[in-house]
Amino acid sequence: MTEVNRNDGILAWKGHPYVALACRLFIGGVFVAACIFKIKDPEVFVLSIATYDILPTSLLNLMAIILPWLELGVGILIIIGYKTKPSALLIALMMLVFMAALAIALARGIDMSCGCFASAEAGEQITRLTMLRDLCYLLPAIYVLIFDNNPIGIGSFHRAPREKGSI
Amino acid sequence: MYSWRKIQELIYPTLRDALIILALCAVLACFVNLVRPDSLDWFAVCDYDILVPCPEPIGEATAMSVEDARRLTSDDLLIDARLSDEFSRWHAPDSINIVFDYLTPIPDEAIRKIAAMRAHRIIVAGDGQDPDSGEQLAKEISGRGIKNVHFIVGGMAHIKFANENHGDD
Repeated sequence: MTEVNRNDGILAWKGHPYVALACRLFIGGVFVAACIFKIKDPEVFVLSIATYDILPTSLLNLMAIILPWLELGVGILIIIGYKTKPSALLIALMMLVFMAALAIALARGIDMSCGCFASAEAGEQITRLTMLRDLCYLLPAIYVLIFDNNPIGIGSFHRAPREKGSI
Repeated sequence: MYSWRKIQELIYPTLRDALIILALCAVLACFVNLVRPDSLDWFAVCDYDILVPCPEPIGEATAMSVEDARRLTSDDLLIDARLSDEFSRWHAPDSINIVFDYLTPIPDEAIRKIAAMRAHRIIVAGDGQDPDSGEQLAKEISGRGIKNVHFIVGGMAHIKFANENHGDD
């Protein structure tokens, strides 16, 4: 055990699961909140995606159908602590894609709402602060992905029998 | 430090589980879309009509009456913001035509052309409607860094009326 701690260094710190729990509740809450309007009004959400003018027209609907449910799925999983790392990986990848889309829209000077939490009409206009906000969602996801090796939640109950069996 | 083998052991299960989550969410999403009454088509066949807010004129422009406009000097530049065919039918002497478009910003080339003329005052006249294309263009030109920009209240229609009643003096 001592050997493992020496080798893992910062990864072995016992506080990681608690810090990660706070990160998980934060980003999980954000993702669950973000998917509500998209699931409720996919026909409005598809317009938000179309405004970015990045995806080909044929893929817009498919994206508007699948993305909100993916956000809901990973949001719930990361909150309850089941499959935490894969969920954090998907969240981090989604945030990178969202930030890239925002950067392209800002570079093109498109005056639009990001469509993250509300419809294009109700949402605030994208600015560099929107990028900063997305970075605040990306960093906790990366933290969970790297440091949350023993997540507090349903995953810990799931792991227990396997650990007993291995002894 | 982790060995490459250990990194692979850590990464592969995470990637595999991420793909499984992605697939399950996609299946659930497709199922819900299938059963909901207002379902989306799987693939869009034509472009969506996207409403992007018009660029807002951001500069300051001073209102000017037609009487003031009749006292223009050779150092002043009169810009006609109306459509090209309206300009070709009638325009004030020595005026230039820069069509104002509510959706498209003024081309940089047009701004450079205005700046190169080094006019003492820039006077813009438009369609005189509400909103007035001349006032909008004047504010946009001012917002792009050109100083001393004015617009004529009532637009080109008032200038034409004044010219017809007072002569081209």
